[in-house]
Amino acid sequence: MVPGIIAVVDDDEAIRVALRSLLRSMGHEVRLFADAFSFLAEATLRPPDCVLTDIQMPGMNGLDLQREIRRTMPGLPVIVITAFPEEAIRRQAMADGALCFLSKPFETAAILHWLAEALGERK
Amino acid sequence: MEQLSPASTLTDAFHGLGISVWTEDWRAVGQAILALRAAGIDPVQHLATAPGELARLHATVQVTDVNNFTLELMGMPDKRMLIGSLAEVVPNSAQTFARWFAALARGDRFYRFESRVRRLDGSLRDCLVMARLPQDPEGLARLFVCVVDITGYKADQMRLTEAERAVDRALRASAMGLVTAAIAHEVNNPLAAVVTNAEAALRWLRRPNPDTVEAEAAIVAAIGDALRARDVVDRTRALLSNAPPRPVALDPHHAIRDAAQFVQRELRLAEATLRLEVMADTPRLLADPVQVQQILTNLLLNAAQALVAHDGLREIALRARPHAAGVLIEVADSGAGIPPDRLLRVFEPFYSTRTDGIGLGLAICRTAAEAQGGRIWVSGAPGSGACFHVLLPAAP
Ligand SMILES: Nc1ncnc2c1ncn2[C@@H]1O[C@H](COP(=O)(O)OP(=O)(O)OP(=O)(O)O)[C@@H](O)[C@H]1O
Ligand SMILES: [Mg+2]
Repeated sequence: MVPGIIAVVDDDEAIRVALRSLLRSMGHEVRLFADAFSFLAEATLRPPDCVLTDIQMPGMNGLDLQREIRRTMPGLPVIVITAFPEEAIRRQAMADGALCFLSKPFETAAILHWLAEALGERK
Repeated sequence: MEQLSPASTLTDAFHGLGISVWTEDWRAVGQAILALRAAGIDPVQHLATAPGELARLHATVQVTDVNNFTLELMGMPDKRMLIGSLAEVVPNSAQTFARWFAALARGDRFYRFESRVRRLDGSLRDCLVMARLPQDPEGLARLFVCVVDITGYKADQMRLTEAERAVDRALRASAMGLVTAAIAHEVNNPLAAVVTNAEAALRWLRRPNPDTVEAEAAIVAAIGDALRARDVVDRTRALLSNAPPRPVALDPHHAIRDAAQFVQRELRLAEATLRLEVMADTPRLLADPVQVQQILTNLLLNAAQALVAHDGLREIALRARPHAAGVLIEVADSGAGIPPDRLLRVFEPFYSTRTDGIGLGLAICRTAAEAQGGRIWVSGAPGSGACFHVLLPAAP
């Protein structure tokens, strides 16, 4: 897989740290954000190749962030990860154009698969 | 033109009103009360320990007359079936006689209670029974008792109660949903971190040039995450068992009476009678009053629910007595009981055999009892009813 720049948006520090280690072990460059606003502030200047975002976050939640990305950065693949999977939320995320919807704890194989998909889409 | 005399108008009313009126002779009861008082004996306490005496007095009460509507209410063709000894013409009046006696002995001005009246064909009507109680024994020779059929009204009330209970259940169920969501979120996050860190460690180690520094960092992080998941479970447990208990010295009489007060409605629904008993020398409890109420009301509710539609005796006893390790409170019912292989399982959260049960009642009882430093267990073979025992510490 071609290495890329992956942004992780999650309010849980343990998740951010763990994903950074995993993604770096695959050779990706990782940028961590504790909330949607700080991600948006930076991504408009230096867009990543793919975003992994949590749903339940204080401030702006993952669904709203995803919609904002659709509007301002169309073409940026979004992988949604949640600790409390609900069918209604999954359908909303997919309708808003998420690449996939994973529930925590997720399997690494699934992340790998969707990352390959996302990075393969790059022009 | 002939004028109706006021007296005959009243006689017409006596027979024409849709209210059942009885005249009864309670003189002998009045005299017995006076005699006991003169001897310095509390009549109510005396009768409570002498059931034979109660039956004897009951037999002295005479029905002297009834109005026409009473025949309609009772479904009886002839007045003569209702004239005579109250104990004979209304056999189930034995159940309410103690209440009448207590009202008279206390010197109450009114008797006003709900009762069930059995008609000749065996069907039951809910009735409101009222009488003004004369203070002089001679007045008791002609006691007027008025009986109003409130069956329809009660049925409406029952439907309302049912609706209220449905709302209660929905609220509890949705509270459970919220708790489940919170637990899922709080536990799944650290779990995901554990899995991800472990995977990352593997990958660092499986590289052509293994990076042990990165692998070690990921493993250390995984251990921290696993410990956090454990903390979440511990904290959730503390949350569900409510705040830290605030033990105070509690009078067992009060604790028991308050709990009984809470479940009146359910007792009526189950048509169950509740007996309260505090044995002499029962010490005060040392426990959190709110949690004690939680325990006792849950046990009483379960007992009442076990008696709904139960064929046979419908009785619940709530007892407190001294015990070597504190105070033992028991809730015993005359229901179907619990099979031996389920005596432990009933305390598990979400174990329920009732269609509308969540299965949290006894789990909460156990958490609350243990939070007080106490214990709860159940005994009782099927057929002899269930008996729950709660052992709580005594105040010094
Ligand atoms: N007095 C009793 N007699 C017979 N069975 C009982 C009695 N009390 C409890 N049980 C059994 O134990 C089960 C669990 O009781 P528990 O109070 O925990 O839950 P529940 O009453 O079913 O539901 P809820 O959460 O609404 O209280 C009941 O469903 C019933 O099978
Ligand atoms: Mg219960």
